[in-house]
Amino acid sequence: MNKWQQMSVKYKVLSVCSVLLVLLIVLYWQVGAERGWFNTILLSSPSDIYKSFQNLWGSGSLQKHILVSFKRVMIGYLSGAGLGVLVGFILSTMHSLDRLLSFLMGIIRPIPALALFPLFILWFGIGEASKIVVIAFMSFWPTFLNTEEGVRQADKNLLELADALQKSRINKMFTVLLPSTLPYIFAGLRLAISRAWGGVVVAEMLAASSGIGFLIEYSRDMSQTASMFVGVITIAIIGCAVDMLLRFIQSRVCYWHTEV
Amino acid sequence: MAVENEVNIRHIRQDFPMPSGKLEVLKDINIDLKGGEFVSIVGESGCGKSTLLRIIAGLDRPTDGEVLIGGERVAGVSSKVGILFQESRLLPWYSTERNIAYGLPKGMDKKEGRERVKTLIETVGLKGFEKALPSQLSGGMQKRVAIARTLAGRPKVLLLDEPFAALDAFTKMNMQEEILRIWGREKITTLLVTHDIDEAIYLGERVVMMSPKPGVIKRVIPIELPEDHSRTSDEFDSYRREIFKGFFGSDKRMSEFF
Repeated sequence: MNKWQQMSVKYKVLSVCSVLLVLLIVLYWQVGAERGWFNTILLSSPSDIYKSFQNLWGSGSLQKHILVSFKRVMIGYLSGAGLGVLVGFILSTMHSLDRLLSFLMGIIRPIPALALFPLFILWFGIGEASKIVVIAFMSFWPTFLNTEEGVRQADKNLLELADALQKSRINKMFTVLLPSTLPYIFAGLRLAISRAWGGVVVAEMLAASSGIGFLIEYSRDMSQTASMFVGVITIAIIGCAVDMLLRFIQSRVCYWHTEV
Repeated sequence: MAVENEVNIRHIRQDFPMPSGKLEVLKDINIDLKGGEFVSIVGESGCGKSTLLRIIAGLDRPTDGEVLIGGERVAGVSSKVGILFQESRLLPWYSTERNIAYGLPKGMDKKEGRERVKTLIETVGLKGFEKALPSQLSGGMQKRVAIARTLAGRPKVLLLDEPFAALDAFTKMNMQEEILRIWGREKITTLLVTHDIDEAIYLGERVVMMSPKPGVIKRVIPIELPEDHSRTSDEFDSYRREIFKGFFGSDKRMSEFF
């Protein structure tokens, strides 16, 4: 118990230090910018970025961009990742279908989603649909692969126990397979969300008139470095928050899994 | 008419295909268990004793021969048989209660099921740990949950596959007492597979000695111990010596352990 408490204190101190580290970097950045240690046209000072943030927020345009990107990510991510879990489950439990589709999956998977984006624009138009499809495509693979791996890693002993207790296929699916796969699914979901954010930004840079990616690209055109930073930092904060949310959900859903 | 908890193992043969031809794992195994009898099978690893248990449980199919339970041929897993594996095999996401309930028969009345689980928790001495997860229980307690889960199905025949091999000596003795107590009360026909000679003598009314390559029955020894099953009695010692001789002959080095 004592050792645990010590470790906990150490853990707490390190957590505080990790925040302090970021603050220290920002402080150095600000001081450096004020003293002319680096070119503020290329690297805006934190105070300039904050001012730019106030302007963008005050005019309501930042919120609008965030909302637009967020919506795209959520629709694309939820459908892509959801499909990934579903297909992963189906294929890993139906071995012949898995074999049959293995080559098809094998050649589609390595294609970078963004290489397909121009095609998606051609097929689905330059509006929302093409962006959502590219995000869904990006979110699909990590969840699909992790789900499949999770099912494969499920404890054979527990599956045999369920057989010995004459559980039905459906029952076995929900009492053994799904719970043992959940930690893998969450790992996939966390990978997928960061990819989805990456995808939306690039898609918006290429073909959009709103969204965070558009904001960054537009600010570059206007040589507004500070606004570019606002866009980047916004992505960082939202990405971090979403990951924390996912981890929180994971710790609740996989309550038996102590090392989350 | 056969007694419903009687077990007849008839001419069981099991071959495993190998690259170099087939491996004879079991060869003509015949054992009859009377209803309510406790039989131990003892033998070194690889003698096919666990395979035999899996065949009786309906988890594996024999190459030849048949197993009858209550006169009915075993053709797959059935609720008549309860098996206790070497690992506790608890679902990590279920509490003690729910793990035990997992062993209840299909379509059982909910209220009746809850009552049975409650009784079983008391039987195996886990009161107060109903809501605990397996990770919060000791190895011995996990074993108790597994026992309760097996009993929840009210099996006519209980198969124990080296159930206590992974437990420390003290917990093991406790669990052996527990099994003897439960068996004495419920009179379930029980077949124990073990490599622990003491355990085989202590628990079994008969000890079946098996030898490997191919797995055959070497000898069957009826055990009659004094009421208290004392592990230090002369009778216990003489059985131990007899079985030991049966396995190792008059090998001096081996016999010096006794």
